[in-house]
Amino acid sequence: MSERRRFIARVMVVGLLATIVRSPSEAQAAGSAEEIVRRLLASDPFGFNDATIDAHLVVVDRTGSKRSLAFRAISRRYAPPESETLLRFSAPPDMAGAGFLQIEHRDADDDRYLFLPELGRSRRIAGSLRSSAFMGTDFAFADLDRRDLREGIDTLLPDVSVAQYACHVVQVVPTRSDSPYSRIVVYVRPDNGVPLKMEMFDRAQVLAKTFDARELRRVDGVWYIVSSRMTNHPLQHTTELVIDQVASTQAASDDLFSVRNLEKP
Amino acid sequence: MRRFIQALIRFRRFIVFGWVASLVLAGFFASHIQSRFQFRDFYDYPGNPAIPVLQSYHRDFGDPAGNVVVLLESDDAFQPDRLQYVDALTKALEPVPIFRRIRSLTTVRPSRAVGDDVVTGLLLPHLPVSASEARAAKDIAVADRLLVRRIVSADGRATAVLAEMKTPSEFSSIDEQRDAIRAVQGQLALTPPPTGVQAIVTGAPVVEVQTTDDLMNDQQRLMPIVFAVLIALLVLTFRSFLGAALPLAAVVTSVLWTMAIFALLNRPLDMIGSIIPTSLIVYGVVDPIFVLSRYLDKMQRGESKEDAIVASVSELAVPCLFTSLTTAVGFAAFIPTPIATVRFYGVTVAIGVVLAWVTTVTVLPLLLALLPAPLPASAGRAWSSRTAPLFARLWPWLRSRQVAVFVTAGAVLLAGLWAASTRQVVNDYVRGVPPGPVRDTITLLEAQFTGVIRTVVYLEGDPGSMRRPEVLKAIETIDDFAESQPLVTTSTSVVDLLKEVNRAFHGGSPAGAVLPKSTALVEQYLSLVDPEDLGDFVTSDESRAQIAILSRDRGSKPVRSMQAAIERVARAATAGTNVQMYLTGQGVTGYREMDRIAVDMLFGFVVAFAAIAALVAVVFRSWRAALVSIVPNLVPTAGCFLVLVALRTEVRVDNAIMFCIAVGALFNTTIQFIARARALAAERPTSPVDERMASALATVGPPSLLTAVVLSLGFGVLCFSKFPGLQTLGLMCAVTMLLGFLADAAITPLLTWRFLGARRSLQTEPAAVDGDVLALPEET
Repeated sequence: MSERRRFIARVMVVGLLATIVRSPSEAQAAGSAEEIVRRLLASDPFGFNDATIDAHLVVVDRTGSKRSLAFRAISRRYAPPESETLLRFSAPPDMAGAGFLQIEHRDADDDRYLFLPELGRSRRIAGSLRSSAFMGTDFAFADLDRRDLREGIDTLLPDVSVAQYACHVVQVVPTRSDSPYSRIVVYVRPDNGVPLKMEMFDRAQVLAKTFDARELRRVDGVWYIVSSRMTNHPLQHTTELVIDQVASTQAASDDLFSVRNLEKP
Repeated sequence: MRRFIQALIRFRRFIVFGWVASLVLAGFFASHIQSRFQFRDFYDYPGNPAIPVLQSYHRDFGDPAGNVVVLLESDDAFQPDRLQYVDALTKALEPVPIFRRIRSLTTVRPSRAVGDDVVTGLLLPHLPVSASEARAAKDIAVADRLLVRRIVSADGRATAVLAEMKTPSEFSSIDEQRDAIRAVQGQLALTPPPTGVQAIVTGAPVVEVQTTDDLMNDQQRLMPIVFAVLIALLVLTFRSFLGAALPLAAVVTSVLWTMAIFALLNRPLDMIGSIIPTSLIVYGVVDPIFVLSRYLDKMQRGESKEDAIVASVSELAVPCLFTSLTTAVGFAAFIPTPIATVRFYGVTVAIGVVLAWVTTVTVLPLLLALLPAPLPASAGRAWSSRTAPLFARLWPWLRSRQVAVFVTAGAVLLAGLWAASTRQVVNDYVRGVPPGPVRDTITLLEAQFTGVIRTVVYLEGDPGSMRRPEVLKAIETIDDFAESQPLVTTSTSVVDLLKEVNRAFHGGSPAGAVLPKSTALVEQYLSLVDPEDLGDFVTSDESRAQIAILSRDRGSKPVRSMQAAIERVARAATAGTNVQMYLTGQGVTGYREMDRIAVDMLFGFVVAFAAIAALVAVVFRSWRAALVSIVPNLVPTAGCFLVLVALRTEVRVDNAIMFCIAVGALFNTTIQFIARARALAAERPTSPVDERMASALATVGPPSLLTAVVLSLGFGVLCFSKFPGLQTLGLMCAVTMLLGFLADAAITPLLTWRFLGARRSLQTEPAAVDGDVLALPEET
């Protein structure tokens, strides 16, 4: 084979390889924004769908003061994508035993109950909580119920890299009037549908919060974000969420997610 | 000096270029001076031990009253269209980068009970469309101790939109505060309030910006009046416009040079600094008047123009330097004070007075030499010719009534002593603002919402301290005590927050508005509160907390007395809790320092008074001369306090400057009279004492009267200031300067005659004080 032919063959091989390598990404990029968000919702990166997690939160304020919370959360997707979650705090000691039950509804407000051991009974928490912080952290209830993602209007933006990983970028404009956000920009890994980054803009179109995934772990075939940080820019607050243990709980019973069970410390 | 003046005249055409260049350069620097009124200028100085705590507090909790406030007044703030407007205004202000957050009825998240449910989150998740929905929201708002007087008035008729600045307003610049106010006003212009709603922009930033603007306006208004008064006096004295222009040219030069130095020191012109230009112009014009008068005398005697210039300047340079130095020493007495605003005032005026002497011996002869035509020979003589005989006749009149004079002086001194004993140091923040709309809005804010005087009980302990029952109990005790104080408009703490949450978890019953008993429940409640709301009261790790006490401004005395009572209760309440308690905040640190400045000024006056008396003793080599000089100068000081009593005004920062100013004016006439009397005794030891005393009075009286008139009318211009404190200062200056002259004209001759003039003759004439003579008609 002459040198010239060898060179042409090399170029063709390289070109073919390049085509093969690029193909899956292009195929995924061809997916619509809605499809990407659907994949994101189907994934359970926080273990709030069908999992039992032991996690802790560290809230750091602008002066550097820290506060920690630890909890176990058991969740079940009872009518996908709606799920119910029971969360029980174990730390700090004064919070031990306090519980929180959330049952998502498709066409109605979610039910939320809080059990404070000192009061001996649970209370239904009503009102427009979605813009409020979850247990004093930088995660709002709206960040946890994912209604804005479920019910928003999605637009695909050009792909970008986040922490060296190519990501699809989708802008979600919430449609609910009680959303604290005017838009959410989500950076999703194409291969597993896990969001590596989310930027939430407040009603004044100012960047209010940034969610950054810091460590992902695959457990029983599901990718979980085991370490993440939510930064509240106006308050200069951050909340680190670390999932210490995670296990899939496909068969959690219905009774587990009842007020009666919540009130059992 | 003679050679220097001769050289100056010889090279006048070159030197004039240097003079003009210096004016241009000085003008350039002076134009960069900024006016600024900020409360923190009184207390934010290196070494102030209160600042670290205040800064630490601000880092943790911001500035509790540093908001630009939009007050929306109507018959009912909860009408749907009004709430819609509040929402629109809030949303419009939220994107403005200068603001950290906007709080209003549409952003607050009170905890409340509805039936068996606990409702948290926004008070108005959606805007009410019906009257009943609006009424429900009103019922919640006016029952919430954290909202009443902060966001809504107790009767629900007025509401406030609070725009909190990113940089706490207490530590932000005037420009930042101005931008914040403009942003709010711009938005109000774009979206005017609905019919029946009155929108008022107020708050602490408005006070500081408006006061700064008023200071600038004051300068722009007062300076022309000062010049007009001086020109009128000079024209009357010299019967010539050139006679007015020459001394003013010299003094304007010194003022420009001084202001350039002031600009290089990088200081803004604050309330005290705003007196600097007036002080310099009024003081600076005196020496050029004397030199010009002496020059005119020489010219009238037939001396050549150059000889007259050289002789008059060289004769008066040293005496003028001496009086300038005594004045400068008086102002320099304020240099040791750590408070920058007072220190810079002292430094600047001391430098300015010396520079005024420099321009008197340089610029004035330069201009005299440059002028093509001399002034009319008769100019300047009319004043002294007419008044000198009157002063000469004053002596026998005084001598025959010496008992009456001493009794009157004693009575004035005793009355002054009494007046001084009744005066206290009381400063104001709000009442220092010129009367007008801004002051009215602050009064309105105080009446319906919070005051702008911030007193903070700042607590610091180990992490978790602030949830301990004994600490919370202490906070509750302090909070309750503060709220019981008549001046306090609001006192809020984490305890109020906990009480509201507890009430919500107890079905909304008022009986539930109590502190939870267990630490665990406290922790659980706190974890329910949004960090943004919680951060107003306690840090995340619960190691630090604040009780924010806002009060009406009734002056530093009642506020400080209230603060002292709160501090006492706070100390007792926190004893044994292992929590450090600090009383801080703008109202604490600011008022403490303002009062201290006033006291420092009084103390500085005493020091300067003693220093000048000592200087008199040294110069005259006579302790009797020093003692004699003290009495006539105590009389105008007593007069100052009598003016304060008459005006029912206490000693404040803005009128205590009087004592700085007085230091520069007092003693000069006394020194000149003693010097003249002793000089005459040495010159004419055989002539009758009465003749010598009358001659001394005739010599010193006219220029002293002219000086007193210039000073009292010059400083009296301050009566036209917008600031109440400066108006008082103007009146005090006018009275003191005239009283100082009267005391010197009446008491000094008698004391000199009794203790110095008649019994002793000076061996050597003190050249340093013989010279401030306008004319000697009977000797020429």
